[in-house]
Amino acid sequence: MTISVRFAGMGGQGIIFSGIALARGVSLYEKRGGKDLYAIQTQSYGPEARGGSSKCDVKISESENFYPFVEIPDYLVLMSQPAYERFIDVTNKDTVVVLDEDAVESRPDIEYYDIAATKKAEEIGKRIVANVVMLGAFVEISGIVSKKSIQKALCDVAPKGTESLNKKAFELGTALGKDAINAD
Amino acid sequence: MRLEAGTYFMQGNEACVEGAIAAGLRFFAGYPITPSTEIAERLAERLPEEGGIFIQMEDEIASISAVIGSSWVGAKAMTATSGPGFSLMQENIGYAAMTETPLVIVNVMRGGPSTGLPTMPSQGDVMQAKYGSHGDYEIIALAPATVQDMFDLTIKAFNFSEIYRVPAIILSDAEVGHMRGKFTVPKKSEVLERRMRTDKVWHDGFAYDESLVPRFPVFGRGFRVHVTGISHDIAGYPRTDPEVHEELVRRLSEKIIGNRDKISLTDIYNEDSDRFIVTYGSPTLAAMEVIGNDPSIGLLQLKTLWPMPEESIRHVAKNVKEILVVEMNMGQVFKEVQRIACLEGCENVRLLSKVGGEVHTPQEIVHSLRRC
Repeated sequence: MTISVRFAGMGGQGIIFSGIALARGVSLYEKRGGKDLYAIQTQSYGPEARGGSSKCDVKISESENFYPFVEIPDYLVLMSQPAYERFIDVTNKDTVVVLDEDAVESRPDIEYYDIAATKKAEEIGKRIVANVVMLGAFVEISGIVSKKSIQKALCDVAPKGTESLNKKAFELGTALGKDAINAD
Repeated sequence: MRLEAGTYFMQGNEACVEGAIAAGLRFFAGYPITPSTEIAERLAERLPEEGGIFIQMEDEIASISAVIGSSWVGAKAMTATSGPGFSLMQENIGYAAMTETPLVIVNVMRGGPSTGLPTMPSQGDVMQAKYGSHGDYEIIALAPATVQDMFDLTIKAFNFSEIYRVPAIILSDAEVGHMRGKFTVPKKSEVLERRMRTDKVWHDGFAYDESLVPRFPVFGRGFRVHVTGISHDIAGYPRTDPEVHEELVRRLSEKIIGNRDKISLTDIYNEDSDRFIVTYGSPTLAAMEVIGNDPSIGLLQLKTLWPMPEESIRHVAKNVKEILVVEMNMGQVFKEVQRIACLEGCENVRLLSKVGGEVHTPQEIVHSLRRC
């Protein structure tokens, strides 16, 4: 049993950061039935991750050895219109899409949730943490991993001095996620 | 400090660095190249913390030269590169084999030939690792498939290199090097040291015993030894006699081939199967998923590529109807498996080749198995 998650957006939005925080949280802090879980994070390399489109995949598994590459994601988290266009058809009817509502114009015909991530991040004065708001919303909507595990991983990977900002952004995200579920 | 025992979450290339430090790495010289750069990046920070030396050289030829030099003053030494840099290193790999210099080379393979596909994986350098330099010689090559392997096999590479006084090559690939995942550092890893010369005799620097591996006379400790790539006698001095050359070249091979069983690292899953996948490196992860869903299929994972683990391949070939070799090249290990399986009467060996810079999917392996 594996769960696949794909984050996609523009280089510089922190797409890869979100994936690393998720995979790290699952790998180090999450247990299922008292047993360890495993996660592998992979990403796009080269110039496209440095300003163009950026993609980061996470695969979560209960067993240690598994195919770590994502083909069709169970969850697709999108933070730009080009990323939407590139990845929206690499889905199936069960894929759940989470969108940054101001950054993505189109809407899919499969299950999706609108999250005002960039707007919320701007409200706290830091547009740069929109990716963490999205991560919080994804964790709430998917329910596949505990908030505590991901928050702990976020503290590990956030640059020194930004831990509380990231924590705040994550909490705003989980609240937006909750609202999105209730509005559904 | 080397990492304490515990569980860590890192990139494959970073786990390789930690394995090297756990094995006692003291010197790194390299020239950054995708997809191996994170190894140099992390070592630039970690090695000085350990009291070791990190140098960024002007190119890969200088890098391996510096590594050879540092090994001769007794340091455990390493470099890291990818295909284009590995090609530049070939001449000195032969020199290291001829002078019996312990060192580790990490080749995080990317698509070739030439500059090829810098950011994407391949397994195109398997034959080059063994045959890239001129003349008859043996090296050791290991192929990690996971982040854990990047840590464990790096330690093994140092151990083999030190014990047999031979270049040990880690043939990783862009996927294994770049993926992030969990790995465990055990309380104690077995770390082996070079057998040193402690006397000050100076006329037999390459004298050997039944192990065929000469004790190592460290430069600068009073033992005078001549080191040359020219055929040499046990004093290290150039000799052109055919007998001396033959004795040397046969011994350089025999000290590795004679220990093939000790060096061969393999894992066998679903041993009683009559259909087997043989693979190594990142395609192993696709094969794992296939055999997880269908236990009637066996898997032989080669963690050692050179010397080729002939015993394990023969063992698998004995009772099987077919073998499918899965690799990201046009069939390099395939030809070896075909040759070895044939010795056991198994002629049905097929290749599932992929050269597009992507790892095989489990589905592609399943389709290929169905075709027969």
